[in-house]
Amino acid sequence: MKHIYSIIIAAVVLVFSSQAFAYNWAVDKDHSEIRFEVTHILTGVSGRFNDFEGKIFFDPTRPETGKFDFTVKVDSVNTNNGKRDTHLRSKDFFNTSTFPDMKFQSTGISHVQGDRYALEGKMTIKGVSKDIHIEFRFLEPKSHPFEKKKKVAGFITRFSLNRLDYSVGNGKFLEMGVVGKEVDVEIAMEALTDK
Amino acid sequence: MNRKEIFSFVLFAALFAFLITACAIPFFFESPSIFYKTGVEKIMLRVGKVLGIAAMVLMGYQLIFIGRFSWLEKLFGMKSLYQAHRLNGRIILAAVLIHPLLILGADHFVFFPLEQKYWPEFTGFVLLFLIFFFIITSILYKRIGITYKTWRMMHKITAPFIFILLFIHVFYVSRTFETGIPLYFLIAIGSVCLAIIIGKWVKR
Repeated sequence: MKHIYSIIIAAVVLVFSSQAFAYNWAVDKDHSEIRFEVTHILTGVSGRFNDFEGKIFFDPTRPETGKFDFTVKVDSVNTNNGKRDTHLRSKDFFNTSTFPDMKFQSTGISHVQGDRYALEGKMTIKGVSKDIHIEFRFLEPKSHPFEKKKKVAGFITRFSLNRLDYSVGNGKFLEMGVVGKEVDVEIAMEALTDK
Repeated sequence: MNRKEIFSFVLFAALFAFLITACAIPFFFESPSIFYKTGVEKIMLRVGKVLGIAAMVLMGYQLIFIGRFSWLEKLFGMKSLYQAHRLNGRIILAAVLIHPLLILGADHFVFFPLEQKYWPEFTGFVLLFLIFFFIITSILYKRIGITYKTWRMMHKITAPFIFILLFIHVFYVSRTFETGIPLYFLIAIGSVCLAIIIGKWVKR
């Protein structure tokens, strides 16, 4: 009898844990981007961060259980201009030798409406941590067209950060009217999980 | 002053004036990278560029010193020209060693990653290594057991490669030399160097 109960308990745990695995999303880095744009004099300069890692646990039926944990290698900044990228890595902006990573760790997720969700979390850039509130869209998962055992979902968000809040720059280029302070960030991710 | 002295003075003044004019390029034709620098970083970047341009011009002068121009040999004598060549070589070595330190220092020694877009900078490092090797072997060839004949052959074979890399590096590493007077200057000095090198090959 004890043996049967053990088997039943083990089966229940296995079913629930497999459900949990179903909401662990592995970021598909080849089809995910972290882009940014900042005003330069009149128009904008855009770029991206090519190297990042993320852990996503997200169940759309229970968003409050979700977790987003991202680390971006700041060294991977790419604005299509080698000298500008080197300048961005320097102490004038990101100081990547001292602060190689930017991090985001979620503290709470709630449903807004439709496919929109509110995400609270802590953003850490150059050693400065600030609470931020952003909204993201969770694009309905579907079967992956090529990997039959997997399903793919999309996560899209757009938000702005004041780079001076994180000491990315000391304001001299803002005063000169060269580089704006608000940085528009756009993140688009495809993530995979087992069916 | 006799005619020889006057001519020597004029020639020296012309070479010096050309060098100073070349070194003025980073002041009058600022590249975008200088725009975004302030304070000490701006000074370091500008001085680094000046040293780079000075090294390039002085390398051109090296060809003049050993170009075996009869009028020059009559004026100064072979011995003086070779002494000038050797001294100039040491000055070039100092300039090319300090040049990247100042350029990188202007960006707080943030080294660029191994990416294709930085190939002009990496060409510069290959060039730096070649020039260092070139000049150090010239100074120490006896001590390191290389015969004069071998050293001379190495020197003659390596020199054209250095000049090719030099002009590629200068043209592509900075937007300064993309258009206008700096570009014409680069073409002029490149053409003179090429003419002297080809002339020496033909004379053989």
